[in-house]
Amino acid sequence: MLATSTAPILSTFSDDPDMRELVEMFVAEVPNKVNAFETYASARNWPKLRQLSHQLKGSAGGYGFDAISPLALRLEIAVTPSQPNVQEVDACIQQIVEVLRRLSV
Amino acid sequence: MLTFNVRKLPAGACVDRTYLKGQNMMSKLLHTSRAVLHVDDDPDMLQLVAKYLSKDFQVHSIVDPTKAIDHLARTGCRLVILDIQMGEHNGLDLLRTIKRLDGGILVVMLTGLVSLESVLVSMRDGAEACLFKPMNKPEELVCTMEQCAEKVARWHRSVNELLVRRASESCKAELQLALMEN
Repeated sequence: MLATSTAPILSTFSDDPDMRELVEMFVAEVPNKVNAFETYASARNWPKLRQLSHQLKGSAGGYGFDAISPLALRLEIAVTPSQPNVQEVDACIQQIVEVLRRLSV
Repeated sequence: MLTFNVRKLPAGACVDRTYLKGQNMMSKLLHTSRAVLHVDDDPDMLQLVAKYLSKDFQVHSIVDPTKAIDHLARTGCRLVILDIQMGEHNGLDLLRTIKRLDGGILVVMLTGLVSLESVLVSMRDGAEACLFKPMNKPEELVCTMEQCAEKVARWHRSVNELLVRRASESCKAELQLALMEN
């Protein structure tokens, strides 16, 4: 299972010399992304979480990390209502953070 | 039969101001026909698109949508890639503003999954195409931008031909007048 394993998740562009540098930059930014998700989740800042999840959904696949987009979409949907289900949001963020931490080039 | 080559007119020959002004405009337009402005609030997307297009286009990336109009007005850039959902900013509003500024600027929407209405509104308000993230086929974006660039180039050629014809007619008239006076 994606969210319970600890194995590295490799980009589908790992062997693409043209894309490798860009993917490395994306992976290097992961700690900042994790920090942003956790900070906004603690603050219950729904608009920011919606923006972050929307961005991640759109960009991760482009860097060869297709597995993230469905999780990001789930979070985006969860934070869309004016009164989100906090448990659902927290569960989504936990999954996303776990997956983000496993990304590798 | 007299022939005219307005591209090789000697100094002091009859070149009207409209032609010169037009040539300056053409020079600017041709310079900007391969320039693309990409507006997206996600730096990761900006980098990705710049990577895909940089071989064939000069890409200028803007993360702050409020700076887009100023860039277009300043540079004369004719091609724009625009996200729809950018935090508190709506790309559809920006699309309309761009089209009001200059209806000839070609805008391609590159967005995440949005409502069908957003796509229809994009088309109605003048977007050339609507592509979706994640970009599974970057070549589709490249192909779309090539088609847009070709459309811009076609207009450039039309304007250029008009300027050449006008200059030619103007020269012809002046020479005929000079012949009559002599």
